[in-house]
Amino acid sequence: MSGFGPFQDAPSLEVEALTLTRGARTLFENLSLKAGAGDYIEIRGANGSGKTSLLRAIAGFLRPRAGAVSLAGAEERALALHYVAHQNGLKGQASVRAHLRYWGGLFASAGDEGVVLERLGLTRQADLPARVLSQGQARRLALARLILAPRPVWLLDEPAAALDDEGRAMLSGLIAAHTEAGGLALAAVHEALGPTPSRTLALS
Amino acid sequence: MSGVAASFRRDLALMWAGGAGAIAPLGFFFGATLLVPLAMGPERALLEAAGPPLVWIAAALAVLMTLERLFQADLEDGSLEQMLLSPTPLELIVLAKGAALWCAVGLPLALASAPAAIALQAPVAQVPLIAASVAVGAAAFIGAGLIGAAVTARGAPGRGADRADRFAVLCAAGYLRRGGGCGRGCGGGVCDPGRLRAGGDRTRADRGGGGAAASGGIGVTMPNCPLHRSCYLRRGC
Repeated sequence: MSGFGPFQDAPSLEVEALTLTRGARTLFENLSLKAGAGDYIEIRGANGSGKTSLLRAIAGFLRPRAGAVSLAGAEERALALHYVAHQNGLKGQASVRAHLRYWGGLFASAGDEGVVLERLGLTRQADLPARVLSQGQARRLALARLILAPRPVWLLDEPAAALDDEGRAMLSGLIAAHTEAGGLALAAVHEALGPTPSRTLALS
Repeated sequence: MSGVAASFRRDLALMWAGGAGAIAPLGFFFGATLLVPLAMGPERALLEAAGPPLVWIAAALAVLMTLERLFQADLEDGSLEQMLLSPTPLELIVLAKGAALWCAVGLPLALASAPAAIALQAPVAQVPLIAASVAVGAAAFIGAGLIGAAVTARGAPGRGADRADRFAVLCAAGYLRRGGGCGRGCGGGVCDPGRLRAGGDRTRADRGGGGAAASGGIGVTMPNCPLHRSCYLRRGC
């Protein structure tokens, strides 16, 4: 299957006594989490409870007030992670295919665009500029990065946002295949995505 | 395609596709330079003296027009986060963006400076020199402007402007990684965020190991060096 492991080294993620603040507000204190190959972890919590911040801290975009995040099992941190954020990272003027080509270069992948487009159900839209895509289609395009370049750790921030039933099923399949291949997935969600989580982390 | 080539190609294509590339800055450039003879009067001696500097000033302002959105747009739509996750060094991605901007805007401006200089009564023999100097000058403006654009790019409204989001890192990286601001909080292997945070306060001698000692580069320390995050991302910690 294109885009999936097996990964040479089993990924493992360790979050130790993490404290995150936004401005003067403390989101959570002393959060610890351990995850390894094949784990799929759902992060749940009310709006504003820090789900996105936790993912961003793990990705290295936010500096924690205290605590540590360590990722082992990848030779290079830059080759370890995929992060699907709220923002899809698309440019309205560029075509769907141009995005795949760009990410292919950026993430040093040799993935086949045609296969990726087909799996995402975007073949018909391949030459359309991203600005005419619907929200759900744009989301599918952002998810293309997951298939395009294999990375052991996936950080997904409400990945099913705007996806239709078929899109959710596709996403669920992607996550299941990823964890089966020895990958590790963390998803901030409000509703279950499909695969049975090996753990659910509740943020209050 | 390497990350650098991909970034270059994408930026160049985007500048021509959506923002109409060099048309807006060129329009500004022509407008500014061609208004001068109207405003100052047709006195040849006056124009000859004022012409070349005015061409330069107009070129500098025209480049400035394009710089503002350079990182801001990437920051707002999430592209910048993806760049941070690329195995390609950030310095090279920024270099590719600068090179694309130069091709899309700097080069057309240099060509446009020839007719503009003639309109300002510059001696014809000097016109190629003026065009060449604007081409080099535009590269310098872009290089310096990239730093400003990166430092001033802020988190989108509603997302809160977190410090790490000021992607000063993108440009500063090239200068500071060589031994500048970053305390190199990670010593290879395991990451120690306590050290990461304290890093900026140390003196160079304290840091030991790693980049600082090897550098001979800029020796500044920044209390909140954005590069901590970069180390954090890239040094396998």
